[in-house]
This record gives sequence, C-alpha cells and structure tokens, in this order.
Amino acid sequence: MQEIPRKNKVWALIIVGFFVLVSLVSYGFHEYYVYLQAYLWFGFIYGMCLQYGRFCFASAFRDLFAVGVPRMVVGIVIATMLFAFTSAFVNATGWSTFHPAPTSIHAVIAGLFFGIGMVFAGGCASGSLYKTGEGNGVALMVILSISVTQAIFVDIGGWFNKLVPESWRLSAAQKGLPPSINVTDGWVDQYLAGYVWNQPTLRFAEMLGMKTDSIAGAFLGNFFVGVVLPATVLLIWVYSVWVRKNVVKRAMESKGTVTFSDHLNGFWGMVTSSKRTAIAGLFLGIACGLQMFVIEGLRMKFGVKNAGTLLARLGFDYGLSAKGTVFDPGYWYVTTQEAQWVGWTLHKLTGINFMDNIFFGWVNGIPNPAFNPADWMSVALIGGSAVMALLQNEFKFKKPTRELATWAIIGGFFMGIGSRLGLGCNVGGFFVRAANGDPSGWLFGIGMIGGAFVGVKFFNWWTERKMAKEMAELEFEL
Amino acid sequence: MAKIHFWIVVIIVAGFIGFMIGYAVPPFMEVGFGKGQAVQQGVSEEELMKQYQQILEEGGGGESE
Amino acid sequence: MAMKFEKKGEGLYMLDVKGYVCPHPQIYTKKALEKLRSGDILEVVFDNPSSSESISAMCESNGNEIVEKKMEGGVFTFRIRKS
Repeated sequence: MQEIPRKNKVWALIIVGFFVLVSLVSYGFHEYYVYLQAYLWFGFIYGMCLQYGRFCFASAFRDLFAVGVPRMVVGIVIATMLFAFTSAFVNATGWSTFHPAPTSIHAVIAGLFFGIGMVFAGGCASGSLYKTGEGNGVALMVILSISVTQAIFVDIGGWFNKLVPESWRLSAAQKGLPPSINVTDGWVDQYLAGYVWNQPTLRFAEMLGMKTDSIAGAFLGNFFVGVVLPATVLLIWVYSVWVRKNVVKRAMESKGTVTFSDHLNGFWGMVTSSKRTAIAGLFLGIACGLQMFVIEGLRMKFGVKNAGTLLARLGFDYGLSAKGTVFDPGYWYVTTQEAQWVGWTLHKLTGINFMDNIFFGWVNGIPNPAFNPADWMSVALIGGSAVMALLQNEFKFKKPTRELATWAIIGGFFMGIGSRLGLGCNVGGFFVRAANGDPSGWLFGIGMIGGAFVGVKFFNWWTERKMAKEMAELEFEL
Repeated sequence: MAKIHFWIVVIIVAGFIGFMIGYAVPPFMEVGFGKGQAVQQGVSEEELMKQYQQILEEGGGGESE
Repeated sequence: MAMKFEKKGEGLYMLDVKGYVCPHPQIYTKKALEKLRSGDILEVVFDNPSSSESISAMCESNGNEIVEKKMEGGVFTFRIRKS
C-alpha cells in the first residue's frame, strides 16, 4: 500500500478538530446542542461508511445495465438486509423513529424520475454528498441542483395549479390546514394533501396481521417477508440474467459440465464480491439504529417530540413550521435538509414566502441552516467522507467540465423532482423504508430500476457517439 | 490507509457517540425500557403545540423556564 | 478536460477520462474495449475512485485481464489486455 502524504493526515485531523470544536463550544452555550451534535456525529459516521463502502446507489443498477457489473447492486441489497436486521431490532423495541410513507403508484413514478436523475448526475443524493467530500466539484453541483429544484418545486403554484386534478384540490381543501399554508395554491401541496395523504400507509408486519413493535412482527413480518424475500428474488434475478452465463462459461471451459453446486458457488461469489459495501451497510445499520436510540433518548430527556421545540426554547423560532416543528427524522436522511437551506436562503434573499406550502410551512420548516439538525448531519457527512478519503489518499479536487456540469444540473433536477414526489430520496424513499418493512420503499426501488435503465440507454447512445468521433479521427491519423 | 490517524478519528467519534449514548440511556431507564414494558414516549403532539403557542405568546426568544 | 483516445504504439491504446465521474469512465472503457482487437492493450487513465472497482469487476466478468494497476495521487492507470 502506498504512503499517505503527511498533508492528508494533517487535513483529516483539522476536519475532525473542527467538528470537535463545534461540539464543545455549542455544548458550552447550552445542553440542548447535544441534540444537534447527535446529528453531527452520526452524519460523520455515515460519511465515513459511505466513502469506505463507495456506497453508490446510482451505480447499482446503472453499472448492471451499462457494463454488466452486479457488484454494487448486490452490495446495496445485502446492505439493505443488514440494515433491515438492525432496524427490526429497533422496531421490536418500540423506539424506532421511523414512520411509513403512503403506498401507491406515485412511489414508482417518483422512483423513475429519481432513477433517471441519478444516472445523469452520476450519483444519488447521499452519493453526491460523500463525493463532495472526496473533492468532487460535479457532486457539489448535483447537490446545488437538487436543493434548488426541490425548494422551488414544493412552492410552485400559479400556472401549475391548472395541472392539479379537481379531486385533489377538493380533497386538499378539506384537510383543515391553517390558512397560512394556502393549500389550494401550489401543485405539490395539492398533490400531498389531496392525493398522497389519502393513500394507505402499510407495513408488511401489519399486512400479515402482526404488530411492528413485536418481535414476530419486526423480524418475521418486516424483516423476513418484507426484506429478505424480495431481496432474495432480486438477487436471483440479477444472478440469472448477468452472472449465470459467466459461471456456465467458466465451468464448461474447465470441466465441460455445469452442476448445481457451480451455480451455488457462483451465487455465493456474487454475494461476497462487494465486501466493502456490505461492511458499510452493516455499520450504517448499526449507526442508524444507535442514532434513533440516542435521538429518542434525548427527546425524552428534554421532554420534546421534535427539535423545533428545542430551537424555540433556545430562542431560534424563525422558520419553524406552523406546528412548531422542524425536520427531525432521527436517522439518516438527505434531501429534505437540502431543500431547507435553499428555502431559507431564497426566503431571506428574495422575500418570497416559502412558508405557504405544506413541505416547509406545515411539516419541515426552514430554520437557519446553522441551527438545522439535519443540515449539521449533511455537513458532517461531507466531513466524514473527506476524512476517510484523505486517509486513503483518494481525495482530489476536481473541477467540473462543462459537459459534466450539464449532466449534473439535469440529473439534480430530476432527482429533486423525484425525491419530492416520493417524499424522500434513494435513502429516505427506498433504503430506510424498504429496510423498515414499508412496501412503498420497494415501489420507489422498482421505479429507480426503470429510471436507471432509461438513463443508461441514453448514455450508451451518447458515449457511442463520442467514441465514434474520437476513433474516426484516429483512423484518419493512421 | 493511514492506520494510526484512522484510529485516532475512530476514537474521537466513538467518544462523542459514547457521550451521547450516556445522555440517552437514563431517560430510557426511567420509562422502564428493558423491563419488558411498552415504552411511553415523550409528550403528545397537542401538548407540543400548546407549548409552542405558549412560547410564541411569551414573545419567542429565551428559555421557557 | 475532454476525453481522449490515442494510439500510443502497436496494439497499445490510451484512454484518458480524467475528470469524468461515474458512469462515464466505465462506459468509455467498455466501449473502447469493444472496439479493440484481441490481444490489444488499453491503458485507461481516470481519477474517479469508484470507477476503479467497476472497471475491475467489468474486466473480471468479461475475461479481460488487467495487467497493471497503478494509483498515484488520486490518478488511476489501468492496463487492460483484451481477451
């Protein structure tokens, strides 16, 4: 292994030192900051895990479709199972902060948008965060694009109100939301209150007549039926389409026949081909479970249900939702806080009211990013990834080229739309949901697979075209 | 991988996580977690709304003590 | 920085996709390998860490041998022999 430059080690310690300083100083101001620090340090761990595992959702189905590499999709599926196992434990104890999302076809459509965006951008929402930590300027542009798209998308009304079906409008108007939300103005508002909220929230445990906060429900219903079975089906599909033929070819070459045990070995080889991702998935699962535990404990200790109350007590009541809440998921989440900081910035800069919609005004608020727990998590995630990248000598500043910047902005746009339609990104919308036995997570996942397929089709065409051009020039030289 | 530095980072992170778990465990003990009873969590949403309204009426800022 | 594909010698080609992020390095590598003749060597230069795993796995499953792997200051150079 190569020597790590001294400079890298120093920078890694400086970054950690900065977060230590923030923690100590804020704690000195008030005990309540422990709550934000919980987000910070768990975010840091997520960043380290993601970078170590090269946890790239975007590449999962993309690399499978584009270059026939099943490594990442297998890694993600295994990680989902390991994550689901720790989640089942958390659910069984009853202190999970997870809430299932409404299940309907909208999750598939959202996933489709997100999947296309992910391939274009070259990274998912969390992927772009950790790649920013690796010094990747394209990833930073993706984050900006997702953030801005979301903040504008959730607030947009005017002409877009005409696209809202009458039934959504009527149903939304009946939800008894406060006048400040102005629910009949805004496409996303009416989509949420008039359609999504009317859909059932399901979990595999409940669908099977068990309770999620029981051992049977959590492990048998949510974990086994809700995760292990579909994940196994997915793995078998990947094996039979992409891996099987290589196993057959190799067996035929070496001994002339193919036995069932060859297939078993081939399958096992596929499963174990991405240890890094699986290890990262396990640690992510443990970290998420611990974060839920810590956040729940802190909520009980401080007598609150949401960080908004703590912020209000600290005197930061600007940008709290009409319920006095802010976004406070209690676990790994990415996109909402990205929308929030842009919402806050635009609110401050342009004076446009970004609080007259459900997303910001009723649920998540737009607190000052400096005191937004989830933003602390995102910043620390970038930091954790940077530290990991520095210590492995994989950190490198990369300026985006014009071509990549274009893809980044288009990709971020699609992901922004997808994550708002699906109430979450690949993490909040798929990974965490699927792992917690929420069928809507799998629906989002199916959409993502379709989206990845569409995105790959496009890039195959594009690359082919560019290569042909380069090659033509070469032939000319010869 | 710079081994020593990696472990320094891990120890610092573990230290903070440990500190926060130390914060979170006592309230869990109080509500009887681990004694096989259902955990009663925090306060209700209505209470929260009331609390928030009260803070707003008091003019926002400052402690609610 | 745009992508570059050059002939460096007899049966030796260089694909420079520095600056590109996923999925471009692996797609370019795949497309380039498809164009080469059996036995030709392709030298891929890239600086996107996660592509290194994808390219390795892709070569492994297609039977193309990676004869040399280098990594210096975040820049990867892989020499791949087309099977």
